[in-house]
Amino acid sequence: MKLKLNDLTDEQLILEFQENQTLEAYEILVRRFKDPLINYVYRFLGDKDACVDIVQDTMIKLYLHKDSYKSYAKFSTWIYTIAGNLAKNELKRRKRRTIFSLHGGKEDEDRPLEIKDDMFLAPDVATDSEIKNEIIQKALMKIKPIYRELVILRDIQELSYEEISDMKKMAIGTVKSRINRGRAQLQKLLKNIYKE
Amino acid sequence: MKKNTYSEEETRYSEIIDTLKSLPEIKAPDNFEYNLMIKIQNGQFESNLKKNKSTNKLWIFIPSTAVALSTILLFTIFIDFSSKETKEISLADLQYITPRIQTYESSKEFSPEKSKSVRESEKLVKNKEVLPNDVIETETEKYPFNQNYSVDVDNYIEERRHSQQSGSNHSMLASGGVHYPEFNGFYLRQQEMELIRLYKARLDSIIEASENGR
Repeated sequence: MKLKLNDLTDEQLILEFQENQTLEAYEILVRRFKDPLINYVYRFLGDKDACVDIVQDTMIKLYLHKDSYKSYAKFSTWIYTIAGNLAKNELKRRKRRTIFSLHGGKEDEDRPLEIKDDMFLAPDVATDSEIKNEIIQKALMKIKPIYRELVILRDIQELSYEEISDMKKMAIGTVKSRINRGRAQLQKLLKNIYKE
Repeated sequence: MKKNTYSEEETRYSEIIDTLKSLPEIKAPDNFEYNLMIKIQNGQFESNLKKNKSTNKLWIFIPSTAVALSTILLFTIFIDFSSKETKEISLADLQYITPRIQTYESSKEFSPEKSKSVRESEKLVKNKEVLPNDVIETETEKYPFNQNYSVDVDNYIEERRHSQQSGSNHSMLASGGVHYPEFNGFYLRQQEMELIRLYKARLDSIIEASENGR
């Protein structure tokens, strides 16, 4: 039975969970999506603790509102939409709380990230790649959330343009142009990394 | 055709795309599923989610309710204040009107018919010879003055002199009649004083005329 369920697609699993209340089907879906969702939310928010909570909330929503999923949509787009909305709500909540932003201002947004020398002074603490990853994450956090979300979905989560346009209810052209704008902003910010 | 342009753009950003793809994947903690199942089994999430929903809904209405309540409050305060103002005016009017009515009533008593009879009685008193055995009756209702406001002029003058020496209260001296009038405020008192001065002047002129006649 377990093997059988594991072989099912995401859509079949959610159908099984909807019709027969099979908890195992739900557990398999959680196992399949927990890592990609955590990665997506982390890249969007830049906070590991918060991203775990948000993905848990997403899974709880899936458990509670399983019937709101309609079979004509792809399950991955549906679950990504839930997680994305929760992440955006969290971001809004944080913005409301933050009175002064350290990264605020348009001029600051366009300025390329400086690689501090002190970062390279502790090789035992962090490797080169880790520092690079940190800088990339910081650069991601600097671009506008509407571009960031789409860039993450396309270039990190590797979703297709069609899936993203379904998820965001946008035209494919809009999705592509926004992703390219986000990429351009990132490239500008990460100039120093490519120089090295 | 379109596909080609986008693929060209993707190659333009190939560096950044590769960088993003090379980022390490963040994985869920080991206890993720365990914690999730505990949450579901305990069923605490349901109430929490519902609470969040209800508070979110209420949050929408908070500014509008605040505005509505403040307007109601301001409206009630304004009404209360205006009614108080009218009440105060009416009380002041009453205080002002009542003595005016009283003085008007007293002035009404001073009719020409009555003054005629007074003159006749005065003539009779003058012509009449008073014998030692005669009983003298004092007529209180003879003059058209309200008794409460009538003043013995001689007493008043004497008291005034006395007051100038001792410096006692002037308002007390003004109430030189038999019955002490009620204190009706300074407005009435001043009017009364003027009336007294007027009558005193009249009496003085009568006295002077009678003395000159002699």
